[in-house]
Amino acid sequence: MSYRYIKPQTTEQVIGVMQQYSEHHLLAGGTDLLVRMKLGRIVSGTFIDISDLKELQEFTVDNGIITIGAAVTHAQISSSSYMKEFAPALAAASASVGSPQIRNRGTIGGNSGNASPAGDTIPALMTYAAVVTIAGPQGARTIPINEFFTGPGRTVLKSDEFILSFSFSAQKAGQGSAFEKLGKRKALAISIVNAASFIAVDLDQTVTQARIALGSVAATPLRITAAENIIIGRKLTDSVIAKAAKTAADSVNPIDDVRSEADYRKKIVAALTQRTLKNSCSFLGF
Amino acid sequence: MSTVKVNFILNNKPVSLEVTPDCRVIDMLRENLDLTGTKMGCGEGDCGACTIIIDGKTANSCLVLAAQLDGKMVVTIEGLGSYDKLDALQQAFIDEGAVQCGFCTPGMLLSAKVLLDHNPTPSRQEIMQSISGNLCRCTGYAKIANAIEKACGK
Amino acid sequence: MAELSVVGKSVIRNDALDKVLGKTRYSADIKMPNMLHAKVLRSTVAHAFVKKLDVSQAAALPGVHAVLTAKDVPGLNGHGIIFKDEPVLISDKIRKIGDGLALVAAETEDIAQQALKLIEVELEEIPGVFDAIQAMDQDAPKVHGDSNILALRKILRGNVDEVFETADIVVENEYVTQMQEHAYIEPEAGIAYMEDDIVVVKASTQNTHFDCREIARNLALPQSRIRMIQAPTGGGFGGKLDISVQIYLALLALNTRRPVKLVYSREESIITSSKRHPCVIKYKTAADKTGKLLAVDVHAVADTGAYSSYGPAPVTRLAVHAAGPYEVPNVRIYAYTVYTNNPTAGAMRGFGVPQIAFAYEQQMDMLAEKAGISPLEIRLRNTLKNGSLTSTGQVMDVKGNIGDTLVPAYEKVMANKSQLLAPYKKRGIGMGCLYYGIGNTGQPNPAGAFLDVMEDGSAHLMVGAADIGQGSNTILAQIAAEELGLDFNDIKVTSADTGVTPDGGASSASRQTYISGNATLKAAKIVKEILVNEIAAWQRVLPEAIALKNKYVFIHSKQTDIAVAQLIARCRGKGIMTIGHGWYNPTTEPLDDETGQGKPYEVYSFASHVAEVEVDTQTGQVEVVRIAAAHDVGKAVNPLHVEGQIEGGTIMGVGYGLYEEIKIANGNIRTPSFATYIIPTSMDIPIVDTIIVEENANTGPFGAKGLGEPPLVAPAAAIANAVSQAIGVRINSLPLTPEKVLKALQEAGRI
Repeated sequence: MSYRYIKPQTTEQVIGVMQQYSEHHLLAGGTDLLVRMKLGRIVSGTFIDISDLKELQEFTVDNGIITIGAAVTHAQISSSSYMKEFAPALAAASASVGSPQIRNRGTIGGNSGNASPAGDTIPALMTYAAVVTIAGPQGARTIPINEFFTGPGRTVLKSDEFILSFSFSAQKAGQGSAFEKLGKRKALAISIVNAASFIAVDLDQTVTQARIALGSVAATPLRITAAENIIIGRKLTDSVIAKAAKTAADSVNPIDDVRSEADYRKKIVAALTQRTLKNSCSFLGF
Repeated sequence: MSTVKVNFILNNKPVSLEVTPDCRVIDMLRENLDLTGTKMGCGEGDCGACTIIIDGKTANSCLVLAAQLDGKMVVTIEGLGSYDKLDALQQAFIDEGAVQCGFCTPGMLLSAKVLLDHNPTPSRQEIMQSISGNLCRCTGYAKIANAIEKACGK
Repeated sequence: MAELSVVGKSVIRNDALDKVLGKTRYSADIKMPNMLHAKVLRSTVAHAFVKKLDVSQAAALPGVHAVLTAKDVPGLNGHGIIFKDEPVLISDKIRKIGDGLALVAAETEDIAQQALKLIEVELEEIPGVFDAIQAMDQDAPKVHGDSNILALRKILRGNVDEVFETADIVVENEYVTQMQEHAYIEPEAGIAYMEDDIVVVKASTQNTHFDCREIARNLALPQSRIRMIQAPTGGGFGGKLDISVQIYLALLALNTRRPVKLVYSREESIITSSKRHPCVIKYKTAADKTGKLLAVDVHAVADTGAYSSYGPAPVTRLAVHAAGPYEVPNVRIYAYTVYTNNPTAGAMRGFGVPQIAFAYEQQMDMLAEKAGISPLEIRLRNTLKNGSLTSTGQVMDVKGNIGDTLVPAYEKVMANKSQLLAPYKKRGIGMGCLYYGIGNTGQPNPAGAFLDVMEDGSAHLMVGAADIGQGSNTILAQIAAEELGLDFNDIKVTSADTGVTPDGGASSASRQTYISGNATLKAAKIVKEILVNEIAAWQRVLPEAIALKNKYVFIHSKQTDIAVAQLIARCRGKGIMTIGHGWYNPTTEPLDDETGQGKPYEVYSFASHVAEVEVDTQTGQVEVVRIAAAHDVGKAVNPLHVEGQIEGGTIMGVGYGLYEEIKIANGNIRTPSFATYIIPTSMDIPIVDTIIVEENANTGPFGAKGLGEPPLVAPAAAIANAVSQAIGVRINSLPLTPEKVLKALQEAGRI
C-alpha cells in the first residue's frame, strides 16, 4: 500500500508517467479522487498532478469555436461573461456543480473523466455537440462527446490517454441553449435529473437543429434524439415543446437510487426538458 | 512510502515540509503544523468546515493533497486575525451572534473573506451563495449573513 | 421589578472570540505527549451471535498497545440513559449495525486501522426485525428478552368512545414520520488520560455527570476516580446525550496508562449515534359543529431501534403533547416504544413533539375546514389558557394563550405575502402551534451551581450544564451578574467538569436556562444576602433598602460610592466567605402508569409558526418562502441568543419537513454521509421572522422559561398545512419530498 506523487510539466510527460505506472490516478481538481481515496476505493498508486499543466488551462475562442482545456475549473467557466453569453447551458451547468469550494477546484475534464451519470456539465457539452480531444501516445485524437461514455464511471479513454480539451461552436444569433438541474437542495446537490437543450432556428423561426441531453436517467448522460426529431422542422410552439418533453420522458428508463425514484425521474424529465426548451427560446426573441 | 517536498506560503510565512504523497492538506495543517482551526467535519467536501484559501480561492482542504500546495499562497483561519487585531469579519461574527457551537465558523469566515476580497458590496443573495458550501447546523445562516453584511459596512 | 442591567441584554457570548480565531480546541484538536490513537471494530450486520472473536493477531501487530473486548470491561458491560441495555462491547449478540466488538489503541491511526483488519470474527447471522409494527407481533424476532415492546405510555381522561359516537365532526388519519439525524458538524471525539489514579476523559458531550456515572460503573471504580470534562462541543441537539467515545477511551487509558484519542468519522457518527424516532401515528379527533375539540384518540408506534437510549422518554413526551396546546376534555393516547434492529433512536431536539405536531396540527386544519372556520379561528377557539386542564390533568397556570404567539406570526406573514412568478407554481400559508414542557417529564431533574465571589469583584461560577453551542455559559453568567450587581465580564464560568462542577443534568429538554438558571440564581442569592447583611449593618440601614447594581451598592435606590468589590473585600477581610451554592429541581408529579395523569412539568413555553410555501406543481418541489416564528420564552435573558435558537431550530425544522431522512434497508443506513443525508444549506432557507413574546414565568430566573427545542417542533407541521392550502392535497408522511408531492397531485388528478 503505497502512493507516489508526480507533477509532469508537459502532456508528453503525463503520457510517459501513465505508461510507466499502470496504477495511476490523474489529479486535477481532486474533488472526486480524494473522496474515493477517503472511502478506501483507492488505496495505492501514482497521483499524476495535471492541475497546473498549461496546455490544459487553455480557454480560447477561435473562429467561433470555443476550446476549453480539461483543467479549466467550473468556477472559471461559470464566472466567464463570455460563456454566459455564448455557452449559457454550460455556464449554468458549471454554476450548479457542488459548492463554491468544489467549483474552484473541480474541472470540466474531471467531470467527464469521472463519467458519473449525474455529471452536470456533460448534458450541456452534449447539446453543444462538443468534441473531446484526447491525448495519447500516438498524439491527439478527437471523439464526439456522445460517444465518449461507455457506462457509469467508464469512458473510451485507454489507460495511457487523457482528456486535453473540449471544443464546440459558440452560440450564434438564431440559436439558444439552456440547462436545468433538479437536486435535493439548491447547493451541494447531486442531480436527481439534469437536462440541457440547444436549438437553432431559421429566419421564420423554424427549428433547424435541436439537441436535447439528459443526465442521471441512464448509465450515462444521453442525447434524446426522439425528442429532438419532434422539434426539428417545426416552430417551437407550446404544444410542440410539450410533445418533445413527453417524448423525452417516454424515452428514458431511469433507476431507483438513494437520491430518488425511477418513476419520479421519468416524470420530471418532461418538466425539465420543457424548461430548457423554453429558456432556449428566450435567446431567440420570442 | 516516499515523501514529497513542498514549499509554500502559509499565512504570509514560507513553509517547507516533507509530506507523504497521500497526505491531504487538512492532515498536514492539523497534524504536521498543529493548526487545528481548520476543522474536519466530513472529509468528503460536503460540509466546508475545512475550508482554506489557496491562491485567493476557497478550497476544501480535505480534497487537496498537501503536495499540490507547492508554490501556492495559503491562508487558514490562523492567518485571518489575531487577539490584538481581529479581521472585520471576525468582529462582525462576534457582534451579530453568528457563532454558536463554532465548529463551522473558521470555514465560514474564510468563505466570507474571499467573497469580500472580490466583491466588497455583495448582495444578500451573493452572500448566501458564497457560504453555500459551508454547512451550519446551529444558526440557520441568517446571523452569519447579517455579520457578513455588517463587515462590509452595509 | 427593578430595571435589569445584564439580563435581557444581548451581551457577547463568552466563547465567541476564541471561536472566530480558530483557537478553540475541540476534542479532535487536542494533542498530548505519548498519545495513542483508538479505533473501534464495529458490526456490519444487524442481528447475529458472535461465535468467535480472536484479537491475538491484532494485539501482536507492532505499534498496537491494547486490543480490548467485552471480557476486558471490569464492571457492568452495559450502559444507557434509562436502561443499561447497550453493551459497551458485544460479548454474545449483535443487535444493530455499528455495535462495537473490539477496541484498539495504537501509536498511529493507520496502525490502529490495520489492527482492526487482523481481528478475526465469526458470526452466526439471525433474522432481524426492521419495522416497528411488525416487531410488536408475538412471532417477530426478539431484539432483547421476550418482547420488543419496551414501553407503553397511556394517557387517559374522560370517555373517548362515547364522544366519538355522537360528535358532529370526526377526522381520522394516519401519519408517518421519518428518522432524523442530528448532523452536528463536529463528529463525536474525545481523549482520555490518567492523572495519578484518576481517569480523566475529555469529550464532546451534553452531560458529563451522566457520562461519569456510566464510566464508573463499567470500570468498577468510584465516581470520584473518574473526572469527566466536556470539551468544547460542536453541536449536540440531543445526539451527544448518549455515550459515544467516553467509555471506550476510559477503558483504553486505564489499560495502557497513556493518553488515548478517539475521533469518529462522519460515517461512524451517523451509523452509531441515536436518531429522532420514526413514528406511525393513528390520530382521530372529534369536535362539535363549532369546531370545539371534544376528544382525541391517538395510537402511536415509535421505532426505538436496537437499544433503549432515551427511547421511552421522547415517546412519553410525544404522548403528553399529543393534544397540542388545546383544551381537549377526553383523551385516549397510547404510545409504544418498540425495539427493532434498526439504528437506535433516542433524544433529538423536540423529543417526540415534532412528530406528533405534524399530526395534531394537520388534524386541526381538517377540523376547521369541516367546521367552516379558519385555521386561525379553530386554534384560538381551543387554546389552553389559565385554568385549563391539560390531557394529563394539570391545571395550566399561564398568563396568556396561543393567540399571543399565533396572531403576531400570522399577521407578519399576511403583511408580507408576495406575488407568484410562474403559473405552474402555487402558494399557500399554514400554521403550526405548540406548547412545550420545560425539563424532564414528571421526573426529578435537578441542577446545581457553585459560586465563588472574590475580593476584586470577579466571580467564578461552576455549573454542570454543558454549553454545546447554545450559550448556557453566557446565559448563566448573565443571571449571576445581574443578581450580584456585577458586570457580565466579571463572571468566569467553568461548566460540565465532574472534577469541579456540581451535577447540572443534561443539556436537553430545553432545561438549562430554567433549571441551571434557577440554581445559579439561588447560589447568587446566598452571596447577595451575605453582602446585603454586611452593608446593612455597616451603613445602619434595613437590608430591604439595599440593591447591588452596575458594580455599586445602592441604598434607597441611590447609588453610593461603595463598589460591590469593596463590599466583598470587606466581608472576606472579616473572615466571611462570599461563596454560594444552589440547586433547583422543578416541582413535578410523576405520570400515573395506568392513566398518565400527573403534573409532568412546572412550566411551559408556547410558540406558533406560520409558513408561506411555494409548490412547483411540475416537479413537486416545495420551497418555504417565509416563516414567522413567534416564541413565548418568558424573560429573554439574551435576545440575540433567543433569535439564534429560533432561527437555527426553525431551519432544522425546515430540513425535517422537506429533505432530511435517514434511509435504512435491513438495518443498514443508506445515507451515512453529508452527500446523502441532506440538511439545508444557506441557499435553501426561507426568511425567518423571529418574534419574541415575553410572558414571564413566576418560577423562572428573572421570569425565563426555556427555548432550545420548541423552534424545531412547528416548521414541519406548518409547512404541511401550507402545502395543503397551496395544492389542495394532504401529505401525511414526512419529509414532504418532491416525489410525494407530485404523486399526491397526480393521484388527486390535479396535474
